[in-house]
Amino acid sequence: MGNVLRPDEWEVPICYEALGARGISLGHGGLVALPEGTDFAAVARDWLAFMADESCGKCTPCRVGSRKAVELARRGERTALLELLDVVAQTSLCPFGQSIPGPVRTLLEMAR
Amino acid sequence: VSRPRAEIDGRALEPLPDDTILAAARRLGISIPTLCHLPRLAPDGGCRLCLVEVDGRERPAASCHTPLRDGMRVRTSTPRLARLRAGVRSLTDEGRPTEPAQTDHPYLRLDPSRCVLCRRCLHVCEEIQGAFVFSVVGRGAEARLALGSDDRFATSPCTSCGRCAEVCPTGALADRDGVAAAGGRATRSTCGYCGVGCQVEIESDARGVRRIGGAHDAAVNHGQLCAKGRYAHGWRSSPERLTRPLLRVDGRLEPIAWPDAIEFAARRLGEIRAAHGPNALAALSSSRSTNEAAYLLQKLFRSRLGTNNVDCCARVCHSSTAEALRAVTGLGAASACYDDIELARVIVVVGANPSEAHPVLGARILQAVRRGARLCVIDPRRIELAERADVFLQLRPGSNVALLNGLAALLIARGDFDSGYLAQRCSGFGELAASLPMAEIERAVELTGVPLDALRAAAALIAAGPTLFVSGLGTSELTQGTASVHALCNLALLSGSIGRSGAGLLPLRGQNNVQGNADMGASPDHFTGYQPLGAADVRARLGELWGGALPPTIPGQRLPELLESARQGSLRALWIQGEDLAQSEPDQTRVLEALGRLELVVVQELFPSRTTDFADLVLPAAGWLEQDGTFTNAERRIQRVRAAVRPLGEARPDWEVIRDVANALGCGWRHPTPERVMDEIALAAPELFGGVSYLRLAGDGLQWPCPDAEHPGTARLHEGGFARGRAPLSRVAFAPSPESEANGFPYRLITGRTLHQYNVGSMTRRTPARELAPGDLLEIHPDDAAREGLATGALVSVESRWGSTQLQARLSERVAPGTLFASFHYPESHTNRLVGRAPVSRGALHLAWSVVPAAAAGTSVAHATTHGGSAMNVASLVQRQVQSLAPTASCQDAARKMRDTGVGSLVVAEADRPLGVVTDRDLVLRVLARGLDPAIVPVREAMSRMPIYVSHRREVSEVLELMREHAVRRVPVVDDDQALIGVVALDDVILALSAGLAAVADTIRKEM
Repeated sequence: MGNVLRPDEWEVPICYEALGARGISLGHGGLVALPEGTDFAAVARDWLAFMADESCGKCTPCRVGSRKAVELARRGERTALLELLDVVAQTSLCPFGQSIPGPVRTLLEMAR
Repeated sequence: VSRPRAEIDGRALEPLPDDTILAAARRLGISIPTLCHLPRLAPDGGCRLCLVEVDGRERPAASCHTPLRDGMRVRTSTPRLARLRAGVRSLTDEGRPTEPAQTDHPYLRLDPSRCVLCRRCLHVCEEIQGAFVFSVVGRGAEARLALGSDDRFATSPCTSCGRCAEVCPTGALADRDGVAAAGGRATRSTCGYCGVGCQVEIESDARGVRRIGGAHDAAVNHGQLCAKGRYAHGWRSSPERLTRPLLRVDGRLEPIAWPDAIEFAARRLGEIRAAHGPNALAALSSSRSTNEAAYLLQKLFRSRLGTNNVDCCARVCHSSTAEALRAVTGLGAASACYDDIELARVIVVVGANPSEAHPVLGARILQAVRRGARLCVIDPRRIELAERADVFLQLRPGSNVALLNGLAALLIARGDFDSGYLAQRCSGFGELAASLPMAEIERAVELTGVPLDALRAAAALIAAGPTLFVSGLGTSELTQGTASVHALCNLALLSGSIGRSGAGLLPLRGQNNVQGNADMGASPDHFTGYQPLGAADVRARLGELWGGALPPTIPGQRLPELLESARQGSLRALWIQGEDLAQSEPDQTRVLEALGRLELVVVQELFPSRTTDFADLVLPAAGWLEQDGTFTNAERRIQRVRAAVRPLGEARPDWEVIRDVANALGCGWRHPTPERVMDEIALAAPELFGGVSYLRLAGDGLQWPCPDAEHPGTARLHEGGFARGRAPLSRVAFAPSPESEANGFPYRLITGRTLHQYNVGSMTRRTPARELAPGDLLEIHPDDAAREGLATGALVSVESRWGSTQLQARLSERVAPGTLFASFHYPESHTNRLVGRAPVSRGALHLAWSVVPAAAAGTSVAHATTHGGSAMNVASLVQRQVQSLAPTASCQDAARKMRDTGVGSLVVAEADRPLGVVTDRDLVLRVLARGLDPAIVPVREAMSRMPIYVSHRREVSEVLELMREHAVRRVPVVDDDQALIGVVALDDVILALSAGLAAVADTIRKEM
């Protein structure tokens, strides 16, 4: 699903091995640069909406949690959202549900 | 040798092959919460509640699908797990849709607002029943459970097995009984419908049976049931049940006390025996009743009354199979067991439709095929299993022997036979090979209509065996029944299948205790346990056990011969246990005549039937939910039946009544319980049952032979060889059905059972199953229908050279052009009027007879069911296609009219004013049985003694009272001008008044 890299993390070769060594997943290989002044909370909401769209629905945490996360993010219930993202990341059946919460948490931190 | 061990919560254990953490934890008694998990099914893994921590893993693992490996250290209970499980649980609860509930089904309903998408229903439906009703549509949060293609049970492939409702953890899927059940006492017993012998758990309380579920630890069904076993128990408290003994006085059945009933039966049997000898008496034991009842009935007639005139309804269906199997293998029973289905590499299903008639086994066969077993289906009808078959041979009805001979010829021609097995265990190969030249293959193609390629493919499958041959009445209940089974045995021997694991012969039994009835000696030509009538040691043993008197060594008469003797007057008394001869026997007209001539007819029954109409004494019987005893299923497994509720009213178990009649005849039988009867059976036939006792029958029962107390029972027969030495291969010549010679009948008709009904339907028609299968249907191929100008729903008059009736048509490509299929569950269909007798095994020719269909004059539905709401007048129940005739017409005219129109009763009317009703039974009882000439006697003389008629405005409940008062089953209905508009039948009145029928009426009204 990818990761969010802050400027201080940019000094790294763009390849699976090097990124993997730092615990970063290259995902589909696409890079998106976000300019200064970006509304990171909005990006996080967008990612969560993407997650809710893409969830296959097989396991409960990802199926129900993804939609609930969107609602919590819209309402700005940050603590509840972080708790939920932890449950989704820890308990989802496949790497999709397991990996989305990570970058969203980073974005939420950046949005503070 | 010490192996590295796994550890769960600090407790060490050795992983088993294919072990999961969950399974291992449960073995240790450690409880892990689960939601989607079901034992014995593939893990789903979606609910995420069974999470555990595994050392060295960052995330928790789902224990249901994580294999337990050597060296693993697992913790099932930590604060983190508790927090995560709580989080998942709250998500589970939140993710429910809000659609309205589905309530279009008599048993099942879906309430999506309770669904947590655990998919348990989906898994049991796929992996156990094989019906594939459920799916999940939509993605992510939009995902929801879908039912069929339009979210309705009625249009889905649902078979109403009810397992989904049983496993649903939230009640989103629920069933009628689950909703109503309030716990109650649980009783383990054996289902009383078909011969599969499923183990049931019956929940009951003071109000009666509340709910029936499958016994999960049962070897036969592993918790699975079919719609009939699970739901069709409403007959037990039907208002129509016989609840008091009835004696015929002046032509009417009047209640009497039990002691008087017992005394009457004993006295009349004794008198008739004294006047006309033992062979003026006969007994028919019931395949629905217990082993204990069958044993005591044959013992009473053989020992005290001295006749071998004992038979049972298996004569109609199963006797050809038993005879052929005994001739070939020495034992007239299945060589294989149900577990062979899962072990089989190749399964041949021939002349059986287990998906509808034996649903739990049908599902097991389907699942075996899904897991890779090869399947060949041989049937004139494209049954459900045919859709899953590697090879489907759609033969012409009645051409079984030609087909099986053709397959044998192919095996021989290709050298595809098990020569080692044949050399060691069989005889007659040379003669068989000589009788099956290559020309036999071409002949098979010509006679069966099956293409050569398909025959070759089937032969190749069988050759890849050993093969499990699952057969049904399509092989046995027809003219060449015995020959068909011999031809099937040839294939089983050529392929080396009998006595091998995952192979052999598995004939399915139609009724719960067909097997047990034959085992107990309900047959004119052998004693209990198939012991010969003439064997000195057997006679010595039974003579001692039975207190002296024994019947002659000459066999008694079989059922068809008994009926003929009754017609001719030499048989005078018949004890009929739980069988509606008048409806289920072929050649119905002659059966009615036979019954009408008997001096004494004693009937043990649950319900009034066409047969009790002929009874002098009716003894109300306890049904399978109400008595203790045993049934023996199709794999020879003797299982316990236990009373869950008391018999209704004064009804009593069959065995107990027979004991009392015997004692009234001076027998001095001391059997306080059926358990003591079984102890005696063990002594009577020690080779098969010597080790059988109720103590040992707890749980899964015992499969006979079980000769002594240490013997574990026998799952598979003939494993070490055939008891009688070599099994003979038989030369079997194809003979065309005599029906094929009848000119002017272009169609062949086959009959069979449908999923929701059971045989003559005396039980299932009294349950909501009626809603799922509201009447008998005639399946006809669309090409034939087009030629005859018929549409689905048209009323068709069907005529054979044996008789005629009317059935509703359903266009279907399940039958081939030229073949018709009809079910026979409803008495008003009179399907058996169309069917004649088979000469060889003297069974019935239920399959393959010639008929001519034609659209009936006026295609209004005869059984016009436009039942209204609660306050109904009788107009809505009127059968309008009433036939009437003048009082001066002769009885012969009446009989002709009945035959031509296919109705069983006529209104006698003068200038449209009804004077009375005459039924086919009246003609028999009041004319033929008295030796009067029907051509001379006017119908006025034979019609109902107390002619009444009612206005179409009368309330239905009042009409019922009138019918009771006048003891009539049909009443003419007139309009405001007193002109005849039709008749109303008792069955319809009672149905209309029964609870729950309003819903049926609603459905029907909407569709009309």
